[in-house]
Amino acid sequence: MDRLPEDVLGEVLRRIPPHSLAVCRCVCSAWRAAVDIRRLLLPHVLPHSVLDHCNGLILFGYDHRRNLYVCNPATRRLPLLDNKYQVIKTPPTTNIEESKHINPYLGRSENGVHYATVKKRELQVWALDESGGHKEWELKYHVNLDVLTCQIQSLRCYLEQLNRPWTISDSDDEDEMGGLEADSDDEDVEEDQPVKNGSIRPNGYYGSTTSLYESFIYTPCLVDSLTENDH
Amino acid sequence: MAAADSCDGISTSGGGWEKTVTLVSSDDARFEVREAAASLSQTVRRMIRAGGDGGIPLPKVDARTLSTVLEYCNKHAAVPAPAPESSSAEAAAVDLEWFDKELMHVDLATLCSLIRAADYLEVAGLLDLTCKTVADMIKSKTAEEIRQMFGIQNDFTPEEEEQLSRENAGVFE
Repeated sequence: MDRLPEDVLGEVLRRIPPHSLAVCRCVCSAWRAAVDIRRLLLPHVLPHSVLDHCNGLILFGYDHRRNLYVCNPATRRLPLLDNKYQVIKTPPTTNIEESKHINPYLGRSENGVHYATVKKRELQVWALDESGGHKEWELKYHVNLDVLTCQIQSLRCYLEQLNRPWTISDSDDEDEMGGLEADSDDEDVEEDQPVKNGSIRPNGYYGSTTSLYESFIYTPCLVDSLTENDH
Repeated sequence: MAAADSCDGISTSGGGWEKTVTLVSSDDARFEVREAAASLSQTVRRMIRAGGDGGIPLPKVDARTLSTVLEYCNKHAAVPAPAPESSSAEAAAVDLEWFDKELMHVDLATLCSLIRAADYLEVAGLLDLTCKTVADMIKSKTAEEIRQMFGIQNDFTPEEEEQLSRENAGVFE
């Protein structure tokens, strides 16, 4: 009797707030389809709470950031037409009060999706393990940025040098950079090729520093933004 | 309503000259309406432009529903162009709001008929009003209450139920 045609049902559903919309998905398969096919739930849930996004995943917070979630709007292993979505809880933070003050980031590297938080001067980085059908966070780094800020001071002088124009590399540096072949043929070529910043990278770059350290070399602006979070 | 005695759905009415059109419901009831009011329906507006004899047929709307739709159209088309910040414009807006509220004091079956009609006739204001009203009825209810309201069978398998509760885990916490 009261059945609404699919398109009209959509008109009603798009006027329903997110929490009730989640209930509506549970009414019957037709209603679930009506919500999903229009992707109604996501746009409603997200505008007030999106903190970051990457690679089709969205980081959003509920309840004044007390609960953070990574949301996968279309589970990547399934065709987009399925309109599946999945909510993945972010790694647990130590303390609910503290979690309001953390700065969450979502990013993707060649190893997959990473979630990072900066809390005061502590940096934590988790990787999303998607193997075996489960999605679990694995803590990769837990670093105190105090150490880093000391290093930044020593980096500043390098940064000045980094802005220098391209230079012709000399053979001594090539040796440092990990054993490029030094036979005469190669040298002939390299003498003619400029290598960006080849001679001025900090010694530690290819040495014993962490990979975290490496990434900051390339992103001096990120270093600045991290130190700003100290207050 | 009186049957139209018009040619091409156009006649005079009352003290002044005003264009009217005749709309014919699915059960052959004829409604003579001011064109300004009928034109709130984009569907009717297109049909007026296309022209035709003997009234505009609306085979998807019954007389009872159409009369409510036209009640809405007549009221809303009567509102003069808004003169912002004048007290009369404000009063008219309040009056219109009250009218809309009263119009929505109907049962769910009637509401659903109105939504379908507003959708078919493309009366944007009425579609919004009716959808909002139904949305308000739905939004504080549980899934089971919504099923009872609309007479819907729960057709999910236990596996699907489980999947739903997993998907909603983040939403309800």
